[in-house]
Amino acid sequence: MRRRDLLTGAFAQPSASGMLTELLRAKYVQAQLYRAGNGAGLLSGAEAGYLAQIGEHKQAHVAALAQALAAPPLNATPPAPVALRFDAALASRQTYLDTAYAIEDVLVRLYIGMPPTAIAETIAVRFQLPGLVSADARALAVLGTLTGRPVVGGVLAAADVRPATAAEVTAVLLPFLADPASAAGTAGVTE
Amino acid sequence: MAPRPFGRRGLLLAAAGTALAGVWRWRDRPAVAQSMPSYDVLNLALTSEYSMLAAYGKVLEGGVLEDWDLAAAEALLADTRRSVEHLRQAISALGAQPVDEDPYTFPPEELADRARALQLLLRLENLGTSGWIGSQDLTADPATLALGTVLFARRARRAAAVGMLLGDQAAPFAGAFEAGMSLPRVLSAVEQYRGGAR
Repeated sequence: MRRRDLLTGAFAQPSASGMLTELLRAKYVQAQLYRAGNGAGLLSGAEAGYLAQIGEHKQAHVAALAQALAAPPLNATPPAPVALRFDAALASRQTYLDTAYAIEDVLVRLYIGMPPTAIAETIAVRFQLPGLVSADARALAVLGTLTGRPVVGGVLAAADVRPATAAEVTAVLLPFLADPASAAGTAGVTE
Repeated sequence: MAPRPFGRRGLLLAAAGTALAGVWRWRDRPAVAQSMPSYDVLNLALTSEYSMLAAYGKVLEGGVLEDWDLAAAEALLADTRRSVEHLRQAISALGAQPVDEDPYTFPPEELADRARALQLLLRLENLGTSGWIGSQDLTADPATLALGTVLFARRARRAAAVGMLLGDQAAPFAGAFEAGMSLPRVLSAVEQYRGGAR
Protein backbone atom coordinates (compact mmCIF):
# COMPACT_ATOMS: atom_id res chain seq x y z
CA MET A 1 0.00 0.00 0.00
CA ARG A 2 1.35 3.40 -0.94
CA ARG A 3 0.87 6.84 0.49
CA ARG A 4 -1.60 7.88 -2.12
CA ASP A 5 -3.80 4.95 -1.19
CA LEU A 6 -3.97 5.96 2.44
CA LEU A 7 -6.74 8.08 3.78
CA THR A 8 -7.88 8.94 0.31
CA GLY A 9 -11.43 8.77 1.49
CA ALA A 10 -10.36 10.42 4.71
CA PHE A 11 -13.47 10.11 6.77
CA ALA A 12 -15.77 11.51 4.13
CA GLN A 13 -17.25 8.06 3.69
CA PRO A 14 -20.93 8.11 4.49
CA SER A 15 -21.29 4.35 4.92
CA ALA A 16 -20.52 2.34 8.02
CA SER A 17 -17.89 0.26 6.22
CA GLY A 18 -16.24 3.40 4.85
CA MET A 19 -16.18 5.08 8.24
CA LEU A 20 -14.86 2.03 10.04
CA THR A 21 -12.20 1.47 7.40
CA GLU A 22 -10.90 5.00 7.72
CA LEU A 23 -11.06 4.79 11.50
CA LEU A 24 -9.07 1.57 11.42
CA ARG A 25 -6.36 3.23 9.34
CA ALA A 26 -6.11 6.03 11.87
CA LYS A 27 -6.07 3.53 14.71
CA TYR A 28 -3.16 1.68 13.10
CA VAL A 29 -1.19 4.91 13.33
CA GLN A 30 -2.17 5.49 16.94
CA ALA A 31 -1.52 1.93 18.05
CA GLN A 32 1.93 1.91 16.49
CA LEU A 33 2.78 5.34 17.85
CA TYR A 34 1.99 4.32 21.41
CA ARG A 35 3.75 0.99 21.01
CA ALA A 36 6.89 2.66 19.70
CA GLY A 37 6.68 5.61 22.08
CA ASN A 38 6.07 3.56 25.18
CA GLY A 39 8.98 1.34 24.25
CA ALA A 40 11.35 4.22 23.67
CA GLY A 41 12.03 4.96 27.33
CA LEU A 42 10.87 8.56 27.09
CA LEU A 43 8.44 8.37 30.00
CA SER A 44 8.58 7.19 33.57
CA GLY A 45 6.41 6.85 36.65
CA ALA A 46 2.78 7.89 36.42
CA GLU A 47 3.15 9.25 32.91
CA ALA A 48 4.34 5.90 31.66
CA GLY A 49 1.37 4.27 33.36
CA TYR A 50 -1.14 6.59 31.73
CA LEU A 51 0.38 6.13 28.28
CA ALA A 52 0.53 2.36 28.70
CA GLN A 53 -3.20 2.27 29.32
CA ILE A 54 -3.91 4.50 26.35
CA GLY A 55 -1.72 2.32 24.16
CA GLU A 56 -3.58 -0.81 25.24
CA HIS A 57 -6.86 0.86 24.34
CA LYS A 58 -5.65 1.61 20.82
CA GLN A 59 -4.63 -2.00 20.30
CA ALA A 60 -8.12 -3.03 21.37
CA HIS A 61 -9.64 -0.50 18.98
CA VAL A 62 -7.65 -1.92 16.08
CA ALA A 63 -8.80 -5.44 16.87
CA ALA A 64 -12.44 -4.44 17.32
CA LEU A 65 -12.56 -2.36 14.15
CA ALA A 66 -11.00 -5.12 12.08
CA GLN A 67 -13.43 -7.61 13.55
CA ALA A 68 -16.44 -5.36 12.93
CA LEU A 69 -15.44 -4.85 9.32
CA ALA A 70 -14.95 -8.54 8.65
CA ALA A 71 -18.11 -9.68 10.41
CA PRO A 72 -21.65 -9.63 9.09
CA PRO A 73 -23.38 -7.53 8.00
CA LEU A 74 -20.41 -5.65 6.52
CA ASN A 75 -18.30 -8.66 5.44
CA ALA A 76 -15.58 -6.24 4.32
CA THR A 77 -11.85 -6.79 4.07
CA PRO A 78 -10.03 -4.70 6.67
CA PRO A 79 -7.20 -2.60 5.25
CA ALA A 80 -3.74 -4.01 5.79
CA PRO A 81 -1.42 -2.38 8.33
CA VAL A 82 0.98 0.09 6.78
CA ALA A 83 4.62 0.91 7.37
CA LEU A 84 5.05 3.87 9.67
CA ARG A 85 7.91 5.90 11.03
CA PHE A 86 7.94 8.16 14.04
CA ASP A 87 11.53 9.45 14.17
CA ALA A 88 10.74 13.10 14.82
CA ALA A 89 7.71 12.32 16.93
CA LEU A 90 9.81 10.25 19.32
CA ALA A 91 12.71 12.66 19.62
CA SER A 92 11.75 13.55 23.18
CA ARG A 93 9.08 13.18 25.83
CA GLN A 94 7.50 16.42 24.72
CA THR A 95 7.38 15.55 21.02
CA TYR A 96 5.89 12.17 21.82
CA LEU A 97 3.15 13.59 24.02
CA ASP A 98 2.47 16.47 21.64
CA THR A 99 2.17 14.09 18.70
CA ALA A 100 -0.14 11.81 20.62
CA TYR A 101 -2.22 14.82 21.63
CA ALA A 102 -2.46 16.11 18.06
CA ILE A 103 -3.75 12.79 16.76
CA GLU A 104 -6.25 12.34 19.58
CA ASP A 105 -7.44 15.89 19.09
CA VAL A 106 -8.10 15.55 15.39
CA LEU A 107 -9.87 12.22 15.89
CA VAL A 108 -12.12 13.51 18.65
CA ARG A 109 -12.97 16.51 16.49
CA LEU A 110 -13.59 14.11 13.63
CA TYR A 111 -16.14 12.20 15.69
CA ILE A 112 -18.10 15.33 16.49
CA GLY A 113 -18.19 16.23 12.81
CA MET A 114 -19.21 12.82 11.55
CA PRO A 115 -22.25 12.81 9.29
CA PRO A 116 -25.22 11.92 11.51
CA THR A 117 -26.23 9.09 9.21
CA ALA A 118 -22.75 7.58 9.47
CA ILE A 119 -22.95 7.63 13.27
CA ALA A 120 -26.30 5.92 13.14
CA GLU A 121 -24.98 3.34 10.69
CA THR A 122 -21.94 2.45 12.76
CA ILE A 123 -24.18 1.89 15.74
CA ALA A 124 -26.64 -0.09 13.66
CA VAL A 125 -23.91 -2.57 12.67
CA ARG A 126 -23.22 -3.04 16.38
CA PHE A 127 -19.89 -1.27 16.45
CA GLN A 128 -19.68 0.47 19.77
CA LEU A 129 -18.66 3.87 18.47
CA PRO A 130 -19.58 5.74 21.69
CA GLY A 131 -17.31 3.50 23.74
CA LEU A 132 -14.43 4.25 21.40
CA VAL A 133 -15.18 7.99 21.46
CA SER A 134 -15.07 7.86 25.25
CA ALA A 135 -11.63 6.26 25.27
CA ASP A 136 -10.21 8.77 22.81
CA ALA A 137 -11.78 11.80 24.48
CA ARG A 138 -10.44 10.66 27.84
CA ALA A 139 -6.99 10.08 26.36
CA LEU A 140 -7.10 13.58 24.94
CA ALA A 141 -7.83 15.07 28.36
CA VAL A 142 -5.04 13.02 29.95
CA LEU A 143 -2.54 14.09 27.30
CA GLY A 144 -3.72 17.69 27.56
CA THR A 145 -2.98 17.58 31.27
CA LEU A 146 0.41 15.90 30.89
CA THR A 147 1.50 18.42 28.26
CA GLY A 148 0.43 21.36 30.40
CA ARG A 149 -2.18 22.65 27.98
CA PRO A 150 -4.80 25.12 29.21
CA VAL A 151 -7.90 23.61 30.74
CA VAL A 152 -10.32 25.18 28.25
CA GLY A 153 -9.42 24.22 24.72
CA GLY A 154 -6.65 21.90 25.88
CA VAL A 155 -7.75 19.48 28.56
CA LEU A 156 -11.42 20.22 27.99
CA ALA A 157 -13.07 21.06 24.71
CA ALA A 158 -12.94 24.61 23.47
CA ALA A 159 -16.13 26.59 23.98
CA ASP A 160 -16.73 26.52 20.23
CA VAL A 161 -15.00 23.25 19.40
CA ARG A 162 -14.67 22.86 15.65
CA PRO A 163 -15.15 19.54 13.88
CA ALA A 164 -12.10 18.27 12.00
CA THR A 165 -12.13 18.22 8.24
CA ALA A 166 -10.94 15.28 6.20
CA ALA A 167 -7.96 17.38 5.11
CA GLU A 168 -6.99 18.01 8.74
CA VAL A 169 -7.09 14.33 9.57
CA THR A 170 -4.93 13.52 6.58
CA ALA A 171 -2.47 16.30 7.39
CA VAL A 172 -1.96 14.99 10.92
CA LEU A 173 -1.58 11.34 9.96
CA LEU A 174 0.26 11.51 6.66
CA PRO A 175 3.71 12.44 8.01
CA PHE A 176 3.94 9.07 9.73
CA LEU A 177 3.36 6.96 6.66
CA ALA A 178 6.59 5.54 5.37
CA ASP A 179 6.90 4.53 1.75
CA PRO A 180 7.32 0.77 2.00
CA ALA A 181 9.21 0.67 -1.26
CA SER A 182 11.96 2.98 -0.10
CA ALA A 183 11.88 2.98 3.69
CA ALA A 184 11.05 -0.52 4.84
CA GLY A 185 13.71 -1.92 7.07
CA THR A 186 15.18 1.42 8.05
CA ALA A 187 15.35 2.66 11.60
CA GLY A 188 12.13 4.02 12.97
CA VAL A 189 9.93 2.06 10.65
CA THR A 190 7.38 -0.14 12.31
CA GLU A 191 4.54 -2.26 11.18
CA MET B 1 -49.17 16.48 16.90
CA ALA B 2 -46.86 18.75 18.83
CA PRO B 3 -44.33 17.14 21.13
CA ARG B 4 -45.70 17.02 24.63
CA PRO B 5 -43.79 19.19 27.01
CA PHE B 6 -42.91 17.71 30.34
CA GLY B 7 -41.44 19.30 33.35
CA ARG B 8 -42.20 16.62 35.86
CA ARG B 9 -39.52 14.08 36.53
CA GLY B 10 -42.07 11.37 37.19
CA LEU B 11 -43.20 11.48 33.59
CA LEU B 12 -39.62 11.33 32.46
CA LEU B 13 -38.84 8.34 34.61
CA ALA B 14 -42.00 6.61 33.49
CA ALA B 15 -41.12 7.23 29.87
CA ALA B 16 -37.62 5.92 30.42
CA GLY B 17 -38.88 2.87 32.21
CA THR B 18 -41.35 2.07 29.47
CA ALA B 19 -38.78 2.61 26.78
CA LEU B 20 -36.27 0.44 28.50
CA ALA B 21 -38.60 -2.38 29.39
CA GLY B 22 -37.60 -4.38 26.35
CA VAL B 23 -34.19 -2.98 25.68
CA TRP B 24 -31.50 -5.57 25.22
CA ARG B 25 -27.97 -5.37 26.41
CA TRP B 26 -25.74 -3.68 23.84
CA ARG B 27 -24.10 -6.77 22.43
CA ASP B 28 -27.22 -8.86 22.46
CA ARG B 29 -29.66 -6.56 20.80
CA PRO B 30 -30.80 -7.49 17.32
CA ALA B 31 -31.25 -3.95 16.08
CA VAL B 32 -31.39 -0.36 17.22
CA ALA B 33 -34.73 0.23 18.84
CA GLN B 34 -36.41 3.55 18.24
CA SER B 35 -38.19 3.80 21.52
CA MET B 36 -38.31 7.42 22.61
CA PRO B 37 -38.83 10.75 20.90
CA SER B 38 -35.60 12.66 20.41
CA TYR B 39 -36.63 15.43 22.77
CA ASP B 40 -37.19 12.92 25.56
CA VAL B 41 -33.74 11.43 25.04
CA LEU B 42 -32.21 14.89 25.08
CA ASN B 43 -34.17 15.81 28.19
CA LEU B 44 -32.69 12.81 29.94
CA ALA B 45 -29.25 14.03 28.97
CA LEU B 46 -30.19 17.48 30.22
CA THR B 47 -31.25 16.00 33.56
CA SER B 48 -27.85 14.39 33.85
CA GLU B 49 -26.07 17.64 33.06
CA TYR B 50 -28.17 19.43 35.69
CA SER B 51 -26.86 17.01 38.29
CA MET B 52 -23.34 18.04 37.32
CA LEU B 53 -24.18 21.73 37.57
CA ALA B 54 -25.38 21.13 41.10
CA ALA B 55 -22.42 18.97 42.05
CA TYR B 56 -19.78 21.39 40.79
CA GLY B 57 -21.65 24.24 42.47
CA LYS B 58 -21.75 22.46 45.81
CA VAL B 59 -18.12 21.39 45.63
CA LEU B 60 -17.01 24.91 44.81
CA GLU B 61 -19.16 26.31 47.62
CA GLY B 62 -17.61 23.86 50.03
CA GLY B 63 -14.19 25.44 49.71
CA VAL B 64 -12.28 22.16 49.71
CA LEU B 65 -10.50 22.89 46.41
CA GLU B 66 -7.58 25.25 46.04
CA ASP B 67 -5.24 26.59 43.40
CA TRP B 68 -5.14 24.40 40.27
CA ASP B 69 -7.98 22.18 41.52
CA LEU B 70 -10.17 25.22 42.06
CA ALA B 71 -9.42 26.72 38.65
CA ALA B 72 -10.05 23.38 36.99
CA ALA B 73 -13.37 22.89 38.79
CA GLU B 74 -14.51 26.34 37.74
CA ALA B 75 -13.65 25.50 34.12
CA LEU B 76 -15.47 22.18 34.46
CA LEU B 77 -18.56 23.99 35.74
CA ALA B 78 -18.42 26.42 32.81
CA ASP B 79 -18.07 23.49 30.43
CA THR B 80 -21.13 21.87 31.97
CA ARG B 81 -23.10 25.09 31.52
CA ARG B 82 -22.23 25.02 27.82
CA SER B 83 -23.63 21.51 27.50
CA VAL B 84 -26.77 22.51 29.37
CA GLU B 85 -27.33 25.46 27.07
CA HIS B 86 -26.63 23.34 24.00
CA LEU B 87 -29.19 20.76 25.09
CA ARG B 88 -31.83 23.33 26.00
CA GLN B 89 -31.48 24.96 22.60
CA ALA B 90 -31.68 21.62 20.80
CA ILE B 91 -34.80 20.58 22.72
CA SER B 92 -36.47 23.92 22.06
CA ALA B 93 -35.59 23.64 18.38
CA LEU B 94 -37.55 20.39 18.32
CA GLY B 95 -40.57 22.27 19.60
CA ALA B 96 -40.43 20.65 23.02
CA GLN B 97 -39.95 22.04 26.49
CA PRO B 98 -36.58 21.57 28.21
CA VAL B 99 -37.07 19.84 31.53
CA ASP B 100 -36.81 22.08 34.59
CA GLU B 101 -33.76 22.02 36.83
CA ASP B 102 -34.43 20.26 40.10
CA PRO B 103 -32.56 20.93 43.35
CA TYR B 104 -29.86 18.47 44.38
CA THR B 105 -28.46 17.86 47.80
CA PHE B 106 -25.26 15.99 48.50
CA PRO B 107 -24.37 14.38 51.82
CA PRO B 108 -21.88 16.48 53.76
CA GLU B 109 -19.53 13.53 54.07
CA GLU B 110 -19.20 13.38 50.28
CA LEU B 111 -18.11 17.01 50.20
CA ALA B 112 -15.98 16.90 53.34
CA ASP B 113 -12.56 17.05 51.74
CA ARG B 114 -10.80 17.36 48.42
CA ALA B 115 -10.52 13.65 47.70
CA ARG B 116 -14.12 12.82 48.52
CA ALA B 117 -15.44 15.81 46.59
CA LEU B 118 -13.45 14.83 43.52
CA GLN B 119 -14.63 11.23 43.86
CA LEU B 120 -18.22 12.46 43.86
CA LEU B 121 -17.62 14.52 40.73
CA LEU B 122 -15.91 11.64 38.98
CA ARG B 123 -18.69 9.21 39.85
CA LEU B 124 -21.35 11.56 38.52
CA GLU B 125 -19.42 12.40 35.34
CA ASN B 126 -18.95 8.70 34.67
CA LEU B 127 -22.64 8.06 35.24
CA GLY B 128 -23.32 10.50 32.45
CA THR B 129 -20.94 8.92 29.96
CA SER B 130 -21.99 5.34 30.66
CA GLY B 131 -25.61 6.49 30.71
CA TRP B 132 -25.31 7.96 27.24
CA ILE B 133 -23.76 4.76 25.92
CA GLY B 134 -26.56 2.81 27.55
CA SER B 135 -29.09 5.11 25.90
CA GLN B 136 -28.06 4.38 22.34
CA ASP B 137 -30.98 2.01 22.03
CA LEU B 138 -33.46 4.72 22.84
CA THR B 139 -33.24 6.46 19.50
CA ALA B 140 -32.15 5.79 15.96
CA ASP B 141 -32.52 9.40 14.96
CA PRO B 142 -29.21 10.36 13.30
CA ALA B 143 -29.37 14.00 14.37
CA THR B 144 -29.92 13.06 18.00
CA LEU B 145 -27.08 10.55 17.91
CA ALA B 146 -24.80 13.16 16.33
CA LEU B 147 -25.62 15.78 18.94
CA GLY B 148 -25.15 13.16 21.62
CA THR B 149 -21.70 12.39 20.27
CA VAL B 150 -20.68 16.04 20.53
CA LEU B 151 -21.87 16.36 24.11
CA PHE B 152 -20.67 12.90 25.08
CA ALA B 153 -17.12 13.64 23.91
CA ARG B 154 -17.20 16.84 25.94
CA ARG B 155 -18.37 15.00 29.03
CA ALA B 156 -15.83 12.19 28.67
CA ARG B 157 -13.08 14.81 28.66
CA ARG B 158 -14.54 16.30 31.81
CA ALA B 159 -14.56 12.89 33.50
CA ALA B 160 -10.93 12.30 32.60
CA ALA B 161 -9.96 15.78 33.76
CA VAL B 162 -11.48 15.09 37.17
CA GLY B 163 -9.72 11.73 37.18
CA MET B 164 -6.41 13.46 36.55
CA LEU B 165 -7.01 15.75 39.51
CA LEU B 166 -7.47 12.68 41.68
CA GLY B 167 -4.11 11.38 40.56
CA ASP B 168 -5.22 7.75 40.52
CA GLN B 169 -3.76 5.90 37.53
CA ALA B 170 -7.07 4.34 36.62
CA ALA B 171 -9.36 7.25 37.42
CA PRO B 172 -9.33 9.06 34.06
CA PHE B 173 -10.18 5.96 32.05
CA ALA B 174 -13.19 3.74 31.47
CA GLY B 175 -11.62 1.04 29.33
CA ALA B 176 -10.98 0.74 25.62
CA PHE B 177 -14.73 0.62 25.06
CA GLU B 178 -16.61 2.20 27.90
CA ALA B 179 -19.54 0.03 28.90
CA GLY B 180 -23.04 1.38 28.87
CA MET B 181 -25.23 1.58 31.92
CA SER B 182 -28.98 1.25 31.65
CA LEU B 183 -30.92 4.42 32.12
CA PRO B 184 -32.89 3.14 35.12
CA ARG B 185 -29.61 2.37 36.89
CA VAL B 186 -28.24 5.81 36.08
CA LEU B 187 -31.38 7.56 37.21
CA SER B 188 -31.48 5.45 40.36
CA ALA B 189 -27.90 6.38 41.18
CA VAL B 190 -28.61 10.08 40.74
CA GLU B 191 -31.98 9.89 42.48
CA GLN B 192 -30.36 9.71 45.91
CA TYR B 193 -29.11 13.26 45.44
CA ARG B 194 -32.32 14.81 44.18
CA GLY B 195 -34.37 16.95 46.49
CA GLY B 196 -34.16 19.82 48.91
CA ALA B 197 -31.84 20.56 51.80
CA ARG B 198 -30.96 17.70 54.06
